[in-house]
Amino acid sequence: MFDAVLNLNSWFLFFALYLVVGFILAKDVYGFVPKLMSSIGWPIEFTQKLFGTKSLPYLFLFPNILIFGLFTFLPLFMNFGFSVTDGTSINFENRAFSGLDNLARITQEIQIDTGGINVENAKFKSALYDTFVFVILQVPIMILIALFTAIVLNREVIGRGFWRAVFFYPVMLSPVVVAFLWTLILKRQGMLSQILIDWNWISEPIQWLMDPNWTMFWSIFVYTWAHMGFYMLILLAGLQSIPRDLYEAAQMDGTSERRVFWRITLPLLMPILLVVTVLSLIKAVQAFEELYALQVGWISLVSYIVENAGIRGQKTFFGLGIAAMASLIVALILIVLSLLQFYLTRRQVKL
Amino acid sequence: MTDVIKFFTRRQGKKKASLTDWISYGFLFLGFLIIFLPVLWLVMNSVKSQFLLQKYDTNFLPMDYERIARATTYGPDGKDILIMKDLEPWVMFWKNLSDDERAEKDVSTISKILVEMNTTL
Repeated sequence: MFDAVLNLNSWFLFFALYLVVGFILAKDVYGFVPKLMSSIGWPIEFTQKLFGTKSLPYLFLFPNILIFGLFTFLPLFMNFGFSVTDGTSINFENRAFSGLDNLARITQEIQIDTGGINVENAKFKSALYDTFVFVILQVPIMILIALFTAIVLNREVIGRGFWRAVFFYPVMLSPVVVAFLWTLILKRQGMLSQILIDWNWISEPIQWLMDPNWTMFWSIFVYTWAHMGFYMLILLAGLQSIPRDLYEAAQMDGTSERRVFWRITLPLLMPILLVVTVLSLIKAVQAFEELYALQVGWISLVSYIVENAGIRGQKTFFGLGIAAMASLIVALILIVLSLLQFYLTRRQVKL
Repeated sequence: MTDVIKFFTRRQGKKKASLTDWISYGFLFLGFLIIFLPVLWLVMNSVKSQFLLQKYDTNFLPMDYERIARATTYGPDGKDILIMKDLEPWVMFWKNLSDDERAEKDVSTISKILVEMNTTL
């Protein structure tokens, strides 16, 4: 049976049948070429007749929407469902509806179940505060360094390709590799402590990643180290898109290099600088992999979610709901940042 | 003196390096130190011996130490640390040897050295 179907002749037969059906359906079409086209493409014309012209695009979008909905929107709604229910199970039948209790569990001073002092609240607030400090410090520092690097690499320096590769390659390293490398350097008996002891700068080794005075500094340092190259590349592309003739005109007018930078380079780079800022803001709010693998002395918002969700270690009764609620708060922050980007880029176009 | 510097730094045809050039190359070199060197160090670490890794050796090149036996003695004069050179290599790994292997070794060589040092363990 299958042999007959796979046979070339029978394929011809099927195609001929297909064309005949098309020919019959295209009885209202006149002229040889239009009739041939209709005979070949009759399934689409037939569906269009069946569903009308307006709904046809949606029919084509349906398969994609189905997959997208299954793997993107369904988890989104499930997460929303987790945030307003209690329990360890991921099956909604076994989860009791609790309304905004989970929000109260991470934001109120008094624990609503026991009436005592809420420990979770302090943990969540410190995660929120630490992430805020991290974002506020890391983003401007990284953008300044990326901008400076891009400007230097845009000059005619010797071995430009090599330098560009040097500044870009940390982006290609896996976050875990980055964390491993810097753990070797920053742990108690790591490279940095040993060198500083050899130089007599410090008397005993410092645990750079856990020490409360240093943990934020090194978190920002390593995160900037790992991600700076990406933003540098975008800024470099932006710098190269600035028309050369503007610089030539400025040179003819005898403009100083500083003035060229403030009056030509920076204003024309502004749209890209804006995109880079918002992108890195969003990325910094989501900071997790490097910090988790480095085992830094503070908990970022995403680490807080991972710790509570019960993905690793012991599950707690409210953990999943709390994690889902915290993730909604992170989502809210990210939505605000994205809207800010939309607003600012639109304003830029108006100028 | 300034003439000498001028003489050595002059270039044919090309402009002399400006302050911005110096800052640029300085920055690039700093980037090289901070970004490239750590990974290069990691690569070098991957070819170091187990002993060096356990010692948290920070050297860039994977060079082994010269290992010398050391013994701590407690005598009437108090604690004393003896550094014993010229020992057979197996002395260093005495702990790892089995009883049969230990029996094969000629321990008298060590006592000879100790006698030379006028000490007994």
